[in-house]
Amino acid sequence: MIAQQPIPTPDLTFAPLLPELVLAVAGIAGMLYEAVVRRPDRGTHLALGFIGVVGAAVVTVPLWSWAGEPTVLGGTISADRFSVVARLVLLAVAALALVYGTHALGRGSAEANGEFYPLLLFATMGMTLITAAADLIVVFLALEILSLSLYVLTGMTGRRGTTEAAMKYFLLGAFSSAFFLYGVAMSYGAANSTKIVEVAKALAGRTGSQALALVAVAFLAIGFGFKVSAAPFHMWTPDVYQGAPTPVTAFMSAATKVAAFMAMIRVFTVAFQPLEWDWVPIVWGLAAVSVVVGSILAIAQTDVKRMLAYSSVAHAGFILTGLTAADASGIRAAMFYLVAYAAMTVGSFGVVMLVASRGEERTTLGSYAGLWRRSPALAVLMTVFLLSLAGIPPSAGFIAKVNVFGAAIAAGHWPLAIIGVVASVAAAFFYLRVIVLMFMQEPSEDFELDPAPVVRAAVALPAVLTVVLGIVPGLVSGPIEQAAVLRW
Amino acid sequence: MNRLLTVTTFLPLAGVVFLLIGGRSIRNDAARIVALAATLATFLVSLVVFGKFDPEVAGFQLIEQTTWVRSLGFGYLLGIDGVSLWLVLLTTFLFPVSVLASWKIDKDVRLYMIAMLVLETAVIGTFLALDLLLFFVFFEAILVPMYLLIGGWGGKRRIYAAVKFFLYTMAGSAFLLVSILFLFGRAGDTLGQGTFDVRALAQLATTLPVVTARWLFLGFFVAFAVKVPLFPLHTWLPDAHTEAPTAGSVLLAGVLLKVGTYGLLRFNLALFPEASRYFADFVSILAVIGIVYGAAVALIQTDIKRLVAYSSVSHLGFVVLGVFAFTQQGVAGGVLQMVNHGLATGALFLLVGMVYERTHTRELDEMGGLASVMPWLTGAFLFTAFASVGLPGLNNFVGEFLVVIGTFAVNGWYGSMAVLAVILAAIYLLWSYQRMALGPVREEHRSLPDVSLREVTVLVPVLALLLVLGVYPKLATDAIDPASEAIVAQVAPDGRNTDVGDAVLADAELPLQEVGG
Amino acid sequence: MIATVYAKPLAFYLLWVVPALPLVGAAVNLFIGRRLGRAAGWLASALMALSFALSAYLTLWLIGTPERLLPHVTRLFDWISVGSFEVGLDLRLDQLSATMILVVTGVGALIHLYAIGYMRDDPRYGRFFAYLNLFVFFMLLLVLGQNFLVLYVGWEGVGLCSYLLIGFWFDKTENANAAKKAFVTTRIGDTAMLIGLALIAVKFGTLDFDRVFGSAAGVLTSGSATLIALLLFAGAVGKSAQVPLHVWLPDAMAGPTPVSALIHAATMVTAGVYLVVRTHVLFEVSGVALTVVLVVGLVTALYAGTCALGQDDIKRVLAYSTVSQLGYMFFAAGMRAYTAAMFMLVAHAFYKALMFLGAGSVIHGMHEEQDMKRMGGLVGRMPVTAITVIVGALALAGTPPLAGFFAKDQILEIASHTGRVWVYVLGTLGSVLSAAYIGRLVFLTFFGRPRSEQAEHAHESTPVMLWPLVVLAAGAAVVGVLNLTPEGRLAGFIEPVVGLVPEGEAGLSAAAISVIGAAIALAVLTLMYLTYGSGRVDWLALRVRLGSIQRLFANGWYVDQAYAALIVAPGKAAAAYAAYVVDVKIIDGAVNGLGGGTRRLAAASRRLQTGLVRNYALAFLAGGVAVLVYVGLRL
Repeated sequence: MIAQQPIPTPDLTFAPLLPELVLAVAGIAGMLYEAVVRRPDRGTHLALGFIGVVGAAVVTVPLWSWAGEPTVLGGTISADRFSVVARLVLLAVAALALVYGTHALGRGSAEANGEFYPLLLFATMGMTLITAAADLIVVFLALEILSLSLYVLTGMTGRRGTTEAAMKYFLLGAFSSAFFLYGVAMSYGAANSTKIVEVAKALAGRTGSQALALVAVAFLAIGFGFKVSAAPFHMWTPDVYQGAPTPVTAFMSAATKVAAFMAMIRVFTVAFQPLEWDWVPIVWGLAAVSVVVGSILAIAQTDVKRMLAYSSVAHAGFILTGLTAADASGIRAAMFYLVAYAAMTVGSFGVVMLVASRGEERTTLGSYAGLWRRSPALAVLMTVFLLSLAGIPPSAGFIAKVNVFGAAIAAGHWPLAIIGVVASVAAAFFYLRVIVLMFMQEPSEDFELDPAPVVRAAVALPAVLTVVLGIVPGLVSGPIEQAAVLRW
Repeated sequence: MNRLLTVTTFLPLAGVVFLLIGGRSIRNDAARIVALAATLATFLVSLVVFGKFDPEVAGFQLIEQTTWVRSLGFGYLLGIDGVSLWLVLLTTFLFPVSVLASWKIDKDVRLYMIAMLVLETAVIGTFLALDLLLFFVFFEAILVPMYLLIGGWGGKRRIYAAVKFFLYTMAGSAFLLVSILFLFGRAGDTLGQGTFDVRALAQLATTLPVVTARWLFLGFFVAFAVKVPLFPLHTWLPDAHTEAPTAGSVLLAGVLLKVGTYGLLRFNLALFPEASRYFADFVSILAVIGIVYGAAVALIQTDIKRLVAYSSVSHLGFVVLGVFAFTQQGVAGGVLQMVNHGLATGALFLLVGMVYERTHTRELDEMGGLASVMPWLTGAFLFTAFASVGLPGLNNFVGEFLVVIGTFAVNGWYGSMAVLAVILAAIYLLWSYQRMALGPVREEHRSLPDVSLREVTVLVPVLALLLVLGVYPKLATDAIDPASEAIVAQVAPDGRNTDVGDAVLADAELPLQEVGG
Repeated sequence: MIATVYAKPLAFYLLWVVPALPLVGAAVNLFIGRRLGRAAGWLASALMALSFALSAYLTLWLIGTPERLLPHVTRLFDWISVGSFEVGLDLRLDQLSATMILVVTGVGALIHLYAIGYMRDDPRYGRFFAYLNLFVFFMLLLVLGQNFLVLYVGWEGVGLCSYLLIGFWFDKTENANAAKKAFVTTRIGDTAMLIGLALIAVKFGTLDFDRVFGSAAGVLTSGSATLIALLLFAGAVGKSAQVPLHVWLPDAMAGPTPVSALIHAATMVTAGVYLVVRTHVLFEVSGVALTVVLVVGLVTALYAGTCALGQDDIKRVLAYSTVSQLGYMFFAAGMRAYTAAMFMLVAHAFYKALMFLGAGSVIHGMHEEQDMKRMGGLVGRMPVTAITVIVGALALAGTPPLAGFFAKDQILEIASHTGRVWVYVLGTLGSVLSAAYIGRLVFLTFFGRPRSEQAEHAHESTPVMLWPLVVLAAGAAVVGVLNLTPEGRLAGFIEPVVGLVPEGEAGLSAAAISVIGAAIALAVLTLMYLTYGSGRVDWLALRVRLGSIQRLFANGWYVDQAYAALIVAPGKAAAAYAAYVVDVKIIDGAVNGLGGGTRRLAAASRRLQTGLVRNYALAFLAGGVAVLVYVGLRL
């Protein structure tokens, strides 16, 4: 009799997962190439990498007009425009990172570092996956995929310092993963499901245990807080950003934030939407602490990478500020900010890489003295990024700030906005300091900067984007408006 | 659709594009000429605006409106009234002059001129934008080029001055941004969807809770008070003016300070009438303190540029005082005074710069007797000094007098205190002239040349205007008057006579009323 | 009627030409004066003469015009107009302004002529005449203005020219100081006056003379009238160097002598008197203000008279004398004897200009020596100068039948009718003093033995300088005729504008006053002759015996020193405090402190970043605990 029971056929719609599959394939191909070929050359690696990234992008675009179920594969993967936007941003960052990496590692020891390419692809895969994950378990899996790849990438070159950074990153990362996993468990306890939508339903229907759900929120907040490097969970950031090879720093500073925040947005504004009044204050607090700590501490830094690390903490705070308006406007603001931030930060680290040139020397502020004299192009590019980071119009950074503050104020969080603007004045100080060095002082040390036209183009690209988004934000804010609706 | 204002605003950027495309290949002379051409063209276009402008109309004209970012509710909205008209003319007039005055600069000329042109667009934009966010964009965009000008081509302590200028102003505008966004949110709640349109927000203003409106007023006020600058937020100014290159000082004093007073006039008064009345005394007292204090401090400066800088603090106090009298004469006088101060103090900085190029010192004690070696240059300085002292027949007097009577109609003490500064002005300017030009000439200065042809072409237009606006101020007031009438109508308390001209009618019924008590 | 239809348009077209002519001269000489060379002076003088002729014509027209058609007002253009408040550039021709323009252009023309000779060798000859012409332009604007603001333009303009001319020889620092002192001191009065103007504007909504005076009685309470009148008077006190703002005039003698004659004797300094007379309506509404005018005038007259007695610099004697005489005019105005004040103004213009030009001639002859102690016996060496100066002196001393006599005489007569004896007594004392110091001047300069090399070899000046002296002397002699009849021709002429002298209470008879006055003048002059001219008295020894009193007078009662100690020094200290303490230390200190504090905070908190994982984990935990605690509270 039992045999009569019809066996439910598992739903096997893979289309929404195609981007991740493409990336995975490309990554594996890269690994094999590295393993099989005696003298793997970076050209092929780069080609493979681009095939992966571009391919992923190609299969992502159609998802914009996805007509099928909102979630597929048993409700674990969501096929919405939200994830499409996120994926495209991440892939773009990855593409730039590939170029940077090829340039930077190229000047390192010749045979090493082939693994950079597959690892980068896997990391990207984890990131794109996390933005599409509709199930907390998948979120966790993706989180681990991207984290592990990043741990290795950080320590890749094996220089003293990078290994240490990788170690710290790994230890603290594991620490936070534990919190995160615990959070997942709690929410299962609360809602008898790890599916984001189910959790939301359960909490909205007051069937689940509010108490457990609250604890879950707390743990998840901590976990995400670590990933987006929001204070006080940011301590790893400066060491890791400084220790990691600059291309890797560029990649993770931009991509990790985007991925983690997208996931956080989905989890908090969908799964725990019913508990909005409980988690908004947490976000509020994290935002306030982050902007203040990030802005203040950056002032004291003498190393550009560390300075940018702290500034990234501050920016995490600004994005969280947007999130405190737990509605569509808040999501839009946060998304726009992420796009702008990705462009600015990838670009600025690109410049840092070009200035640092051979290996990892010359990341101190001193090396920027008189950059305008040595390389006007780099100086101007850096200025664009810094001004945008400082939120000076007309730049993407300014529009982004306007959005997040606007959203926060509209939601009644004007005190947070005031903390934010005041902090950004303090922040302006250290961005300015670099500009002063570049334009108003004579070169301290004299050395050649290799032209590297391709890489410069790869740095100029985000710069152009930064300016264009400052003047016609509609290009991005339009699509985002449609993407920022999370159906459930 | 008429795009005249857009053209006026962005024409300087054409020069920038040219300079950027030209790249390194552009030689210094070429860069200078390009900049001069761009600024002159802009001036001509602004004259077209002046021609098209209809002084009879009180409200905004030549309006251009398009949505900037629909999804974010940003609008692109330009418009002009009598007030902004004259500030724009002042700007477009002073820029070619400044470019010509910077002919001697030969370090990174291209970058310098780019900064100048970007600055011009930003400044014109602030005067024309009727969309708060657009205004803020231009307002902030001013910072960077000015910062570069000061920090890149300034004097010894230029970097300190530049950073101080930047942070001071940005700190002020931080609160402005929050207030603007708050208004945007309010508009969203009440009007259905958010807007930055000043005209719409002015309507909204009446619905704001009193306390909220007052806080927002302060948010706007701080930003503009720093720019003006009002005591005690003025300490960035002496450093910035002193360290900036000549053209930088000219533009700072000539137009940038006006952005502050303009902001108060255009936004604080229009958006928060009740709060404006509530804070009127507070602001007026700050203004009066600034007037006297600035003059007093100028009195004992030995650095001629610093002296002129502090005199600006005093003069701008006059403007604010007039604006917050909420009388037609006060406001119109204030606006006129913005233009006058721009010309007079601009001219002073030009002259100081020329003297510096010769003597290589700004210390008055290291000059003296220059009148006998460069009679025309010092003569021009004396002429300008008297204009700035408020000698009738020259421009400043008319503005000051209108402000004074406009203020007296409301409060005699403010007016009297302010007028006292006129005495101090005479002292510090004549004394500085004396220490610079009179007495025995120093040996090392005996062979210094008098004005060159280029300098004459720089000076003559400005000095001529000092005289023209002094003898025939109606040239400006014809346009300014209706605008200020409209502004006063928005803010003045009901039933109060806002036109000194009607005083007889007002006082005739109550002959016992005392003025000045 | 025919006449008016005919003449009115003519006047309309001509009135503005009167000030325009000197303005043209100023412009030409300012820009191409150097190229003109000698011609510059002749051009300027010619324009002045033309302007004078025109003024004379207009005055005649005025006399021929029926009263109801006066005053004649010409609007050049609309100057300021905001809201319904408007001020036009209006010129007014009435008996009062006519009198003034006659004096200004007449005396002015003569002094221009004189200056051609006096400034002959000056390198900035052209520039000098440019300034001189510019001054006349502003002076004419002042007296022709139909509203307070046009008057104020002239008022400040003459101040400007006075500044330029006092400091004309700017390479001497003390000249520059004197110029600045003059401008600033008068500016104090001007500023008070500006406040007065503002009050008028606010009260009346207009600054037009006729409209203000017309409605004054209705609009103003006596309180506000007093306030306004006193503020205006403050302006007059500054311009006319009355106590306490008189300190600038003696120093103003640093300027070239023609300047002292024109600006600091004949015209500019009398503007204050003109102002009071012109705005007498306001003063009368107040009443109190008139008393103030009277007292200030009287005090100044006496004070300056004593100072004049103590001076050795011939020009400083004349300067203090001017102050004293101006005081006399205010004294008259204070008694509402405006016609008498105006008459004295005219007479004074003649004899004081004469005295100054004469002094200039002496200084020239003595090779720029101004100290009377080093003069003496010049009557033989420069006869023309001597005689003309003596005429002027007699006029000033009030000896009949010269101009000064009638002027003083009339004023004292009115004083005796005020019913207050002290007024008359003090007034008489004033005339005693003036006779004394002027006698001292004449006898020290022209009589006795030469007391120095230059005095031995002094030479007479050139004709171009002497002719003006002669003409002015003649004027000083005959101007008195203008007031020969009791009601007075000039008085009768001006009356329509200023009204009749009020009928006072019983006092001394006119005859008695005249006799007393003449007797005093002669007696004092004789005494002075015995002391300084006869050579029988060792006046230097006498001075030593007088000691402190003499020093007190010589130093102008130490007023300058007092101001320096009580006003200038504290003011500078306050400014220094504001600049170096308030601005730099307090305000900027706070600003920089904020920045520095943030940096220190950053540097301090940077140490938390130890680089040790366990500390990081600790921070992490702390944060976690905080979040959990929060959640716990929510449960």
